[in-house]
Amino acid sequence: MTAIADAECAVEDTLRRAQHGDHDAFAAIISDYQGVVFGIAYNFFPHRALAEEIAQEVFLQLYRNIAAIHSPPHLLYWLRQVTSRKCIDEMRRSGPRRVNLDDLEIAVTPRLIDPLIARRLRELIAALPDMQRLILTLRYQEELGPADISRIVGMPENTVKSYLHRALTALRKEFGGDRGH
Amino acid sequence: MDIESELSHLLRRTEPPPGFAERVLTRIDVEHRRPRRRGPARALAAAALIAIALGGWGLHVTLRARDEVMTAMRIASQKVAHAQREVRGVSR
Repeated sequence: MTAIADAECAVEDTLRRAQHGDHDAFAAIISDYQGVVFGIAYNFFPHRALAEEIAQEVFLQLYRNIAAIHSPPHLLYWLRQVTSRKCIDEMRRSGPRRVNLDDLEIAVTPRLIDPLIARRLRELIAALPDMQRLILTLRYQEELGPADISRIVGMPENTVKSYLHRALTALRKEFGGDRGH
Repeated sequence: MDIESELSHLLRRTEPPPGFAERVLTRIDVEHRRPRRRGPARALAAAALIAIALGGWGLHVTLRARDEVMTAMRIASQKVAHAQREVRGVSR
């Protein structure tokens, strides 16, 4: 068997054990997928405490509904969808949130030449309308196409494409105009 | 600048603060009232509770024994009193 197939079997086994009440197996699922869930929440808000709160709620909901998960791909889809919906629900519940620029933690990676550019890009993303920001996150964090994103957010595919196009246009315009100064 | 490339690097998966899984599992245990293994501290607390319970049971046994002794003494004194009345009746 290939390494990928072995890995898929391992995840499937972990999922089955978690569904049968194995606490350690559920802990392994949290560890394996916390980057996905916290990442979506953090890239959407970006506020670490709020992102963690949402991420915790997602896994609590998973614990209550894990019997309904029928495969590892379904698990990933479920986590992305529930996290996305909780982000939108929180935004609707709390209203527009003023982004504290001090919360914009920009990790300097070898790829990023200028952390100031990264910070400015973060500010612009935070200023986008909610659905554009969410769709942008799903597109670039999870590398999903419009069809997959439309299923997750419950929106027609053409609407997703339109939001994505608007978001990129706004970023290119603002960022390109900014760098002209 | 390739903005899509920058977005791919900026909007990447992010790990939560350390201990995240533990915090989730603690909430699950609280909500579902499931005891968790917590190591030596928990074992010591459990041992202390058992010791207190046993001590309490020992006290209960002691008190019960005392009550039974008192009852036995009361019965014995009643019998002694009865015997004394009988003896006085015979000696008259």
